[in-house]
Amino acid sequence: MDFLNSQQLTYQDGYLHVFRSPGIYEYRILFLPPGYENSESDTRYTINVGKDGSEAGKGSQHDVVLHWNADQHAYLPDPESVTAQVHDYVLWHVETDTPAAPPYSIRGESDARTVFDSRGMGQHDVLTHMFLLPGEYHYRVNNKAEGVVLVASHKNLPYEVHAERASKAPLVHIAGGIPNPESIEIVTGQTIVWFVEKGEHVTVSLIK
Amino acid sequence: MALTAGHAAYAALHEDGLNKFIRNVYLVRPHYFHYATSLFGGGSTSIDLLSPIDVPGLGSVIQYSIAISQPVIDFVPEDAGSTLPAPLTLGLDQFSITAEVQFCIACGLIDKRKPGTFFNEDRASEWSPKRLCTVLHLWAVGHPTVEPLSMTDKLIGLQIDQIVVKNICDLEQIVECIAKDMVNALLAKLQQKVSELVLGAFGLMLAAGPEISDDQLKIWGDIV
Amino acid sequence: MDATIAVSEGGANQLMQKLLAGESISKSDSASWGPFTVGYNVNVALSGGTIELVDAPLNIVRLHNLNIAGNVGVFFTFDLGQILPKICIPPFQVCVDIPFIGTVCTPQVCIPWPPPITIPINLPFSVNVSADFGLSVKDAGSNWEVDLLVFPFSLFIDLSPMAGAIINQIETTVDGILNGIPLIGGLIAWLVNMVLGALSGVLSAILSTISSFIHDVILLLDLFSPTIPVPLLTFAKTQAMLPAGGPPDPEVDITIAALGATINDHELVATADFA
Repeated sequence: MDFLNSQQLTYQDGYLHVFRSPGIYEYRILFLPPGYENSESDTRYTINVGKDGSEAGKGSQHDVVLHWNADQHAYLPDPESVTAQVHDYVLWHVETDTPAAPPYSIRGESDARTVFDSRGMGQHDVLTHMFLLPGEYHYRVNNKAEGVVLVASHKNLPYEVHAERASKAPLVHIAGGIPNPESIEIVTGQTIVWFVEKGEHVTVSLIK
Repeated sequence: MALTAGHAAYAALHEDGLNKFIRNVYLVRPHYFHYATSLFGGGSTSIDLLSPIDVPGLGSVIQYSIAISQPVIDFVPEDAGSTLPAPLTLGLDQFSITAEVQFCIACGLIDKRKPGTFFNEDRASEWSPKRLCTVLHLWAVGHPTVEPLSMTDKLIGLQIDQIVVKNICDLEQIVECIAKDMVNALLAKLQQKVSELVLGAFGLMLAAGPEISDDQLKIWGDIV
Repeated sequence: MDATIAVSEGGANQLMQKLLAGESISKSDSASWGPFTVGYNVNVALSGGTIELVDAPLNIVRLHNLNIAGNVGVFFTFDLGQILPKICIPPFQVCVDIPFIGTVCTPQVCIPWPPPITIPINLPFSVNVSADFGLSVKDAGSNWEVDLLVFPFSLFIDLSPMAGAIINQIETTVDGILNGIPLIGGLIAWLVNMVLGALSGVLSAILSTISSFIHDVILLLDLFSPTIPVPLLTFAKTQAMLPAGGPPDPEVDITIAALGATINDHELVATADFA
């Protein structure tokens, strides 16, 4: 079974935040739970959001790829700074084939106010997870409502069928802390996209 | 194939080797060759004890001793200096053994008080023994023997069949009879295990022999 | 010459078989060739052969068709990450329309290769050699020995016929690992070939090194040492002819003062003189 926890993102995950207001945002890449920010590295990376964007629902995607640097024990983002416009969105993910790189989280601020934090997702934040191991994944949203992802092994599928299924990333809406659909079936190699349609401080984690 | 004659191994003890062994036995276990009653020291570690001879009607006993010289063994063919007397001859697969036996008695010794016999109190303290000795020369001819010892080993020995003792006239036959048993008893103590004849180099299962020829005692067998 | 012991060629064969049964050896070593680290553990044992006894003055014990056989346990260790490139899946872009956001293209995931794999492979080997041994008598303290000392001989171990078995084993193992990764079904054969291609450049060097090692290990056996004579017959100098039997009967010994050994009429003949 995969490791799945929106509070601790791995190389199988992606985290997305939409920027609705122009301004200068600074974000940090953290390893510890909320409350321990003062114990961690203070390195901040910049996202400049300009006001000349498209309308809501029609923004552009900016990918920030995190590379693990074992010497510095840190993820280094590429690009180091992002220039975007209003209603654009940034998708963070790790690109590394180092198996033991630690899970991380993204926390962004603007004008000394926390704006987004992957450890507690806000409205219109997105979590993606590519499932690599088959199994029945029972998870909880905010430690309350339950959902399940049934992952079948790719080994029984011909390559073309597998590729065709993997070209689709099913969407699970979270509203009021409840996942919809609450049950979904995929094969290994497919990605599930959880979209926080409505809510604050949303977490998705496997039930142990 | 000369020596092994179709078998895996061959071992032979030359008469010189056997005589060296007998020399060592003579030095280390003298009591095999020396016997005496208590008066002549019998009962020590070097001299086996004999009981004195009862003389009928005399009410006394005779103390005596027997000492055998280091015997010498000759395997066929007969040694050049051999003195085997007739009717003894050394034939195929035979050995001869020769030794001198010194026989002594204490003559004139009143050794023991027996009930109901004449005993002169006055002469109780007199004692004038004379030690009389004579040397007998002994020759014997015999053949090699083999006896089972265990599942894998055997005892090789020598046994005499005919004996001649000289220098004692009419008692010859009696003494020859006694002497033959005596010599065979001695030889029985000298039996060797097959494993000792190959000097411990490997295990040997006896298949042929023992046989005496060419001045040697020979055996053949398989290596185990 | 107080005692003579003779052994025929058949008997000498039996003595030699006992000697061979005691001659065995194990040794290990390892080395690296690029991404491949190979450990190898050799076991060697000797058996068989027939003896020919060559008469004096040559006095040679000739062993025909001695079988040297054994097994080398080989461990191939390699890190797929050092051979295969970084692969990220899926090999195509996956995008989904999310309301209020737009078209979001989900990230590729780059596959971390598993930790180094160790594949054990057993390579048995067997070779027949013939060797000549000189005969000598040695005073070894409390024993006399009739010893054999080998004359130099040639020995060639060839493991190259095992290359196919090694390649098959590695191919099967790597194929199994790659099959566990989704979405690379079309790539698996190609990636397996990458591993085998990396191996092919060094496999003959690896087998040659292991063959040399086996060769050297065999020559470590006492029987093949050009400097260490090996006893074929051992005689205790002091032979107990009559065991001790209590105080009046101490042990009666004879002492072997000298020993000679020669080959005559295709028999190994040892003659002993007693003190």
